[in-house]
Amino acid sequence: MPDIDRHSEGTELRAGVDILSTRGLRKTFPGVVALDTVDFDVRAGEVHALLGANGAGKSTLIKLIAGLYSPDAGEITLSGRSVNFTGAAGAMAAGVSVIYQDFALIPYLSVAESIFLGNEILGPFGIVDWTATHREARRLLDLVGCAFPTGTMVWQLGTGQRQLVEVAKALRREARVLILDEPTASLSQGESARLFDLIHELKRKQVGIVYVSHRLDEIAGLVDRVTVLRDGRSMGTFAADDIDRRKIVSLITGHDAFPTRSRQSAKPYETPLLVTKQLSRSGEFEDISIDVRCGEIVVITGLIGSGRTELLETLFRARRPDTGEIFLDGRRCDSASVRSAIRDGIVLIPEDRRGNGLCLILPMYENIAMAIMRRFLGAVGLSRRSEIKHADAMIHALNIRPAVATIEAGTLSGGNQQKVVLAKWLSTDANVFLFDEPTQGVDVGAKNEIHEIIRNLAARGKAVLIASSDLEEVLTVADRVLAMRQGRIVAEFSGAAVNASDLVEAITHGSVS
Amino acid sequence: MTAVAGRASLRPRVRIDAAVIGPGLALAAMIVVYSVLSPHFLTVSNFTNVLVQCSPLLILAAGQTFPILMGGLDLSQGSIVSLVSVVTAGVMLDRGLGLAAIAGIGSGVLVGLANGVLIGRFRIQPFIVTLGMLYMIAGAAMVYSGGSSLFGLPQPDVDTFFWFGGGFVGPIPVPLIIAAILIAISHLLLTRVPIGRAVYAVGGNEQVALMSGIDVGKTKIFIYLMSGAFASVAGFLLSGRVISGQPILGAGDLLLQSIGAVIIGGTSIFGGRGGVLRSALGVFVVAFMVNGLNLLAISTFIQEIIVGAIIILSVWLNSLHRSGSMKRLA
Repeated sequence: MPDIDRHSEGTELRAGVDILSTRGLRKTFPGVVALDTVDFDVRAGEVHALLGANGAGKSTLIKLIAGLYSPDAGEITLSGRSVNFTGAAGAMAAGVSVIYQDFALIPYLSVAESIFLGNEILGPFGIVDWTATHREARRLLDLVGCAFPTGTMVWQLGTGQRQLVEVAKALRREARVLILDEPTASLSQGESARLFDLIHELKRKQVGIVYVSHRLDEIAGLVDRVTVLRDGRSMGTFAADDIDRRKIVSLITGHDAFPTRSRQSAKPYETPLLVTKQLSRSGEFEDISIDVRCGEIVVITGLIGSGRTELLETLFRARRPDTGEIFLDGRRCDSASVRSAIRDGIVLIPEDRRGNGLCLILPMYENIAMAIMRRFLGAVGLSRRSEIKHADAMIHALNIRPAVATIEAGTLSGGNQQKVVLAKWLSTDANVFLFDEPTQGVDVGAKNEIHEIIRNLAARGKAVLIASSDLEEVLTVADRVLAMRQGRIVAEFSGAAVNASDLVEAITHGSVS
Repeated sequence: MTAVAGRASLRPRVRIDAAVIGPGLALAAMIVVYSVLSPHFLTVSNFTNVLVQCSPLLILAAGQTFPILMGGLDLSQGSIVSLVSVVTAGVMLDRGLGLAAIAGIGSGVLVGLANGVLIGRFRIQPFIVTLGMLYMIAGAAMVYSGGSSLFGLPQPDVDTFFWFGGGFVGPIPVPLIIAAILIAISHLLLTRVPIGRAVYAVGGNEQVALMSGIDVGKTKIFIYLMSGAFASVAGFLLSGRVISGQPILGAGDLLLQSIGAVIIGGTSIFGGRGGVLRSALGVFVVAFMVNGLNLLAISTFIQEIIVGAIIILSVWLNSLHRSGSMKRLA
């Protein structure tokens, strides 16, 4: 093990003592209570797992601790002293380091520059001391088990290596609390093992570690305590030895028993509308053969990086498959363009609403009319009035607030923005609706409304294919569930056979016990 | 949220675009102040003079509005003016005005098409493509004319040629009529035709436009074709006014004036917001500002300082207005 002792120099860290505590932490965003009176403690020398479904409030809690958000109410104490960080720099200086899931390194900087970005090692006259920078960077890279030179450019590294550089960056300061958000999502087996060794080592040095993960198998043997969040509230903190997987899953999902689903799935379906045969794209998904019938809601679920988004984008023909075929209503789809997909009646409501779904600076009515512009073509060109009239009808039907067709889409809340994207595609006469995380970042009320819209689509005979990592969503809307793991469909559940534990089992392990 | 919804719904459906208030007020204030300060300002002959002089710029700015609306730029406009000037004059020497107009304007349209194809199909950055084109076409105009001006255009074609650049229909100058027609056409294209709306969608968020089934490549070709075509007409009118072919006709600050006018008018340099009527307003602000300062015998050097300041000021005012409106609704 390389030298790690510098990390504990000069601070008193004793095992079992709370380093970081939050009391009654509360944070609201317009329309959503993201975190509601949460108490959370991290002890020196423990690994504390923070679990919860998407939108449960994990990221909000981390960002509050890291000083990126300031709490509406409640208190954060670090080593017994109340702190109020006004920015990430303050938290970092106090010894709180965070490695975010969607980490971002600047591609055109070297690894050494990246590690010390914003915290440069300075020599005389405030000039960067490159010798010391590279020496320190080397030490940190050795610590996380990376052999590449410190002068390597970030763009030359793979995702796993970049993740480890992030870890090195988090360790550049003497970290007293280290927060890892889904750290293994992009790591290979070997890299993960290396990271776990490092975590054990840091634990021995009395660093308090918060470990956020979806992978229940991973936390066994690694963590000491577990805290589960659901809908912004803490469901309690438990010693890892006292809680089993089944209990954790039920705390995460909020279902003690297997949920009874509200809609009957014993509908007689017609012939398959959308069929894929051995569809593959290298590095993204492999050998996908699925079919979706008219009036059916099929949900693909899996962890981040399981290839769901890529699969949907391929079905929408924004990507070209390497091998395999897509059939629509028995006819082979050859042309590879989004325009032809829309013409054929396939539409995609994308995951990245702001990047792919909406023009934020355009008014709502223009966003809604975007895919069906020709319909408003009159004798003197496009009629703005009939575009607005159409938008008003959609706004009314989908209950979009505020109900003003002419306001910029970017001023709406997340849920209402998502409804505008839905309105755009519901306006077309599509038969196949692909949804990618339809309710991500959407408040509970809008979520139920969106689910209702999806059910109505199916009731009107449309074929619906949803990619979702929201367990509750999967359980409430799906007629059939396909579990996806590392680019492959590993299990299929239909109708009453769907239950939360089997699903979690399938997407994390790839098999059903 | 409910309070906001209530307030927003009280607002009238069609309201005055807040972005034009700034330049509109500036123009009105300027006209009042100059009228008081100079007896020569508020006269028919002065206004006619200003409108004739700014007609080519109106056309250039209307064309430049298209690429700026998609978040791009067309730097090749000035060189297109030069090319059209020498090709028109060169062809006219042997074959008369009709063919000369077709060849001259056609040559500029082809440059616009080339820009569009390189940007839309080969996906090269608009800035790079049109910067390269700026040099190439400026060079081509020099090569075609042998580096010198083409004078001695044949009668009676030359009179008709001048009529386009400086003639009158009744009291109304011909170039102003042409500019008005072109602005009307581009306004209709941008507001009432699907491909015009697609320009805003591409400028607002190219990825969204793509995922909404808009042919982004075709839209970009259209955009640069329009810009090139409008620059060609401007080049034709400018050459008519000087009744010659000038290989450096567009080499001055014509291009920067056209971009400046679009920005002063309130079209966002990041794309997605704005329109050609705003650009026309921007042209008037600059044209009347310069005219008034001339009448007051203020040097052109000071005029440049003022125009530059107006460009920065107008963008700043626009950003203030936008962040204010965002706050109200957030």
